[in-house]
Amino acid sequence: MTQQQTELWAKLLNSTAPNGLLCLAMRHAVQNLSEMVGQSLRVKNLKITTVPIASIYNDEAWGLPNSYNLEMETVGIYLLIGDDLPGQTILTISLADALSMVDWLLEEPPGTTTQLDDLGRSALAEMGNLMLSCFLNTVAEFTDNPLRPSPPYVLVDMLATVLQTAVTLVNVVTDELIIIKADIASSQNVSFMHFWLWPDPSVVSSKE
Amino acid sequence: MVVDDAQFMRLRVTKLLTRYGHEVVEAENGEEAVRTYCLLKPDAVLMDITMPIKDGLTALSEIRQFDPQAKVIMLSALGQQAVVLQAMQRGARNFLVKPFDTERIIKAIQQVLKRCEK
Repeated sequence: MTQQQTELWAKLLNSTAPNGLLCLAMRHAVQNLSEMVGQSLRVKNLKITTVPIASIYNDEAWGLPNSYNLEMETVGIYLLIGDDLPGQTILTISLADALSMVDWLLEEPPGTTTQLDDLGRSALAEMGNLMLSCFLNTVAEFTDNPLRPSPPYVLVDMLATVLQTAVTLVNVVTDELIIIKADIASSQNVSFMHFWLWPDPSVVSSKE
Repeated sequence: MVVDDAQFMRLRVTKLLTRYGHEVVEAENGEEAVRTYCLLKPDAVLMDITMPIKDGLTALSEIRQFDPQAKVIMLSALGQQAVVLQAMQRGARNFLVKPFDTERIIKAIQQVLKRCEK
């Protein structure tokens, strides 16, 4: 693990202030989503926290709205990050909100999409790719090298299962992860999105 | 030729180009793109970068090796300076950043095809 990789992660983990790098990157990502769906979207209640990995299954620790819980049907868009920011990320959104997003993306009237078929999954994967790429474009301004994600993978399951799929890979070695919570509001409704970000185990072990 | 691993994006771009009278073939990763290019030699290629099996930058190099005159336009959400530079050094004719603007795509295609006619 290079010093540059460790330093970039440290910079991110320490930039949770309202005007910090993570907030800026997330706002850019939502702006891109807004252009993609052709809707005026804005970020409300953007909050960034670092959470001990041990409390990831305690939904009270990361403050979900009342209607959300770990058994909620969720769509997770999972990507690996490489280059100077080795890590993993999942964008989670409730299935109901995801179906609304698919309507926007496919330019269908609200309520048209009731099940997630291949085209809907592909649209959500592209949404995740676009948001994370934009996020990385912002972070990349602080490094001389490109930051590239893997192709996205879409998971549909209970929120706990979606998180478990990814987190079990790293929970032995990493202490904390970054959660970026954002309400994405349009003129018609509000979607609640979580953006989970955590470093590759090799970054953590090189810090020890 | 439209190259993107996302069915959703291929559908959107193909629909747009068809509306402007272009005949479109599709490929869903870099490997398929290189194979299809060698077989059909399309007039222009619109290609994503982040794809499984073979990424767009590798496919761009291989297509340009097969045909140094290939007209390849990159269409990616990775608008980072270093990525754009890599693409241009490998011979991309243009680089469009997603989310795409329909007018910019049509204009970019028309530009490379016009150069092709000359």
